[in-house]
Amino acid sequence: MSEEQLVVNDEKSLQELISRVRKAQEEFANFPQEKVDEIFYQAALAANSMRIPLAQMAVNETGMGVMEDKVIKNHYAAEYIYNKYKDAKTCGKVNENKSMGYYEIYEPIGIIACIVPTTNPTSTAIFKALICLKTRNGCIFSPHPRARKSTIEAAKIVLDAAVKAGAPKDIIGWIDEPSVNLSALLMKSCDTVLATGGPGMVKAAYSSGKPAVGVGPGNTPAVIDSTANLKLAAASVIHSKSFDNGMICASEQSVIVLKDVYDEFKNLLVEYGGYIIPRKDMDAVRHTILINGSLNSKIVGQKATTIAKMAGLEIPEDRKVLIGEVKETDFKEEFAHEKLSPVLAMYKADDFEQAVKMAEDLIRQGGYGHTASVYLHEDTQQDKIDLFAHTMKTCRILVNTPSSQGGIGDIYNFMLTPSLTLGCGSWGGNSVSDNVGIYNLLNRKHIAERRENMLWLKLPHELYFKRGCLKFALREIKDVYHKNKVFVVTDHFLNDSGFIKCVTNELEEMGLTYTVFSDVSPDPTLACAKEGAHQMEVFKPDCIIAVGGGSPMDAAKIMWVMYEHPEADFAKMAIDFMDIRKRVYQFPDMGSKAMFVAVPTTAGTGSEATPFAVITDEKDGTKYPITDYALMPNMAIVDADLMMNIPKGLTCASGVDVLTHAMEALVSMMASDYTDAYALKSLELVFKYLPRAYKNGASDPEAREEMAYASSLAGIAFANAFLGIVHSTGHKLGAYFHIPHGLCVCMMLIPVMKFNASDNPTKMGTFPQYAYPSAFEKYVKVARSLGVVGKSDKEVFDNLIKKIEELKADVKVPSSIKEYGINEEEFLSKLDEMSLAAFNDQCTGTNPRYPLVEEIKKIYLEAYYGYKED
Amino acid sequence: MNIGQKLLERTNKVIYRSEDNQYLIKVFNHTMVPKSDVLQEATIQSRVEELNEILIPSVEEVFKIGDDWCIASKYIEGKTLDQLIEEEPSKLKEYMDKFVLLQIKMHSITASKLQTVHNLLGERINTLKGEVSASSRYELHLRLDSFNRDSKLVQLDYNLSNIVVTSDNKWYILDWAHARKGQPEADVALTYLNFMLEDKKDMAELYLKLYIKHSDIAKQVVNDYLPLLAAYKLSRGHLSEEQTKYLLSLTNIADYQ
Repeated sequence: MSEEQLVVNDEKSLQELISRVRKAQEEFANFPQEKVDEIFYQAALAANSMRIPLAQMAVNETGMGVMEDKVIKNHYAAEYIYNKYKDAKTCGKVNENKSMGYYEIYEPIGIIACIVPTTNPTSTAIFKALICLKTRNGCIFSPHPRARKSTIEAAKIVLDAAVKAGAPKDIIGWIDEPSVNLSALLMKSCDTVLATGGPGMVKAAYSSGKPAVGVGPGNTPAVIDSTANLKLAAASVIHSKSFDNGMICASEQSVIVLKDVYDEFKNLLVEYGGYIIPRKDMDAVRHTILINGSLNSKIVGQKATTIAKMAGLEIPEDRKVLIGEVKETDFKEEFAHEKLSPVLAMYKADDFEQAVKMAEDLIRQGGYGHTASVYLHEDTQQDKIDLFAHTMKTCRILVNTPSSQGGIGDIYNFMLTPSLTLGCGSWGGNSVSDNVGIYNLLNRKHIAERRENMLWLKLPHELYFKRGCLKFALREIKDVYHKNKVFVVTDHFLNDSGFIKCVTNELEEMGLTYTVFSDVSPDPTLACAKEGAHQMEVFKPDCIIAVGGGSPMDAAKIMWVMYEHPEADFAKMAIDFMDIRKRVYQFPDMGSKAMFVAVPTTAGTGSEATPFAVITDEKDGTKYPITDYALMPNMAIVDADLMMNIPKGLTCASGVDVLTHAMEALVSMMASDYTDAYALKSLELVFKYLPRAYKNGASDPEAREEMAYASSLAGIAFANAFLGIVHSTGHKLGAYFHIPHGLCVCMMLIPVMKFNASDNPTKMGTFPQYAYPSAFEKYVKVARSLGVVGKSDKEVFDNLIKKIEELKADVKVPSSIKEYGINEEEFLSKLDEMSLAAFNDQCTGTNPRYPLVEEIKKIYLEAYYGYKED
Repeated sequence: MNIGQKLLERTNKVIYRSEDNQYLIKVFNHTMVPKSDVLQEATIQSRVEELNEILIPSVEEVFKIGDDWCIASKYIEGKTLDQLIEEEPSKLKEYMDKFVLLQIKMHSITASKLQTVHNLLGERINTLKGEVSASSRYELHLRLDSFNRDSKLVQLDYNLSNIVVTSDNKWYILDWAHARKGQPEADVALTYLNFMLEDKKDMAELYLKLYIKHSDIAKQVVNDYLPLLAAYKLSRGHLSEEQTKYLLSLTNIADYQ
């Protein structure tokens, strides 16, 4: 505007101004930090040096306020704002964290429509112009008609200095002849509205359809407690209330004084320049300050003596504040409103609680969200500060502070951000509750590079193995851990057959007290676990030994939790999680009452090395799969001597369970080199020894021993890499049709492998480590390391499937669910429900291919009818 | 031309009662009232009539006499409410209650086809360039913009003299030229102001008290509207010096900050 004068007085000229400022801002947006900082510096200096002429101009034009106080406001707007933000980064990269792969870029918003009130026409203009410059925004001022010239002059001073320092020439503009229509058009055409003013202006800003940082009116009450330093309080209130003739929005509108100090405080107010309005004159003042509930514009920013004169009162010339003693805090009382003048309401309260209640009413009256203040003895009355802060619905709560100067920040407290635009939060209908600053005028880009999750390998504290190790390992319970009372959990069969003696005899020999709980059946129930826990509560063991297959080990783990934490809630523990580290439920710490020892007697579940346990609620059949590393046994004892006589059926069902554990852990999205090592070894052992163990039984101890290790190795792998939808579908198949778990997962394995092997799945799994659909690649790699060959990857994969088919045939696993003997009609009738349930299984989350329910259904159908070559 | 008995003569119109006593005929002076204003008045009245919710005189004919446009509507035989109150001052409270309840009933009606109070008041504020400072007009516009928009039927001339009670006790509301849709509080503020301008402060307060008692509006919102309706009254003129001074004092508002 410096070259061709543009007078903005209608829509056309405003559009022209907007396009000029927009052009300037587009250029400014590319300025580097140093240049921006220089412009900010020079602009602040210029505004600072012109603080007196601007203050004079504002008072002359508006006829409101005190020149000397406006000098302070202008000074503050230039100096404090510069000081606060001089070193702040507003351009380019900030908050960079290379190792986390994250940084932010600050960019300007564009054009800010700045609405400036009559009460602070120059200081708010300086403030807004400076924060816009610092953030590389263009700004256009819509002044109040009553303060038009002063606001424009302030903007012009900042603009000239900025341009001289290198800013684009039209970076700041203004409306020369303001009207509500032009202001509305400006707000509609800008990028963000920064509105300071009353409810009307703020509402207009928020209704403009553009993002708005609008603030609103205050009605600050000051509570004077009996413990306050009354001289400080009275002096502060008069100092603040008379500042710029009471025009600061944070200024005290009322004091609520506790009755025991009321008279003393009142005398002090008079001593410092207050004038207590005689009762007979109260109505005259009431009808002067407010007309039918609307603030009389003629009193705004006037001296106390002038207002008194308007009300027909003669008061001494040295009186600075008119004080009305009133009782009502609702809007019928004129003194309860915001008065924008040195007129103060004074209330008497019986006690602090009543004072707080009255302050709350006054805030609701007209100052929602703005500022409240309290005077008390800070060191001894923290409870009162807390009560006051808790109760006031205001965004600034000031203690022992003159609120006019205190609310704007950095003068009486150095952590409160300096600002001339004070957010009032949702209570005041605002989008901000802070003292507004540069961060409200920046667009923040968040640059996030892909990073991988931390993975882990969590194992039992110790795992003992080799045939005959049981005897020696058990001794540690006494010799190393110094335990005395052992609670043995096992099943009926192992107990009744006397098998359990291999453990109990040893305990007897060591002289340990023990008891045996053997009431565990397959698919252990909550009732069973509760009973066990109850017996533990009576017996008070310091060691729990679980002996058996998956069921006793799972049941014992749950008993352990209930024993250690009787308050534990299973429904919460069983809530599915996406990432075990981010689960909502915090699992309790374990081990304060007893250590846990797992002694497997089958080669299958791997439960001795896993943090999993499944428990069934006998009331409704709900299965709770409980997962947390707190459930990891402290000690595992893998002694194949205990497994020599496993019946053929169990050898098969548990053996193929190991196969699926290992295979799923290998292609899980959480698979790592660590878990792969365990899983691959396990798989190698299964292919080699499972057929032998099945065929030869006890006569082939080597096969038994290697299958025992295969089971633990797979357990370790899936304890850390987790599983996939072989288990999701297998779990539900077992639940719906009562097929042994091992057979279920084994019948699901090949259809799922074929499903996972797609290089272009409908949906891949979501995990940072999982770069692209690679399950097929992984199967082929696994196959080759198992010695499977083929002319192409496809052939290798097909041969791996064949190898699994052969193994299944060797150990007599049915080739399909139909062959197992499930009725077709029944199967199909439950298919939809079962597919959805499988989709929702905890194991689905780590599967490399994220399945659609419809796809799960197809997998089930393939498993039912038998898979065919595509 | 004899079109009936002349009832009232204003500078811009003359009102007659037809010879057969069936019609009230307004003859608008074509040099002061444009055709569109006459047609608009007939349209507004017809729209309210079509709402079929309250009793009002129906528009029967729009025609021309020479260059003057005329509206003939049904003549309602009866007494105006201010006449009735004058005749039976003891029944003041009873009549005022009914007066308020009828207005509340009117305010419950949605009149989406009418123009808005918001636009009307905005235009009227703009016409006050001589009387009200730019700064106050700015504040008035801001105040206006801060109100909620509503679509309730507001008559904007709801006075005792515009209610006619027939011999079989039917209550008719007359004079729909200014009706708009908007917030009822605007209409309440205007009725209150009209009492005040007639120097009937007690009636004004009684009216407002009763309205608030019978409805769930807040007095503060009525108060908030007063400066705007004062501006509206100022823009319509025909005021004494005293009345002008009173209205101007109401328009001197400042927004809370």
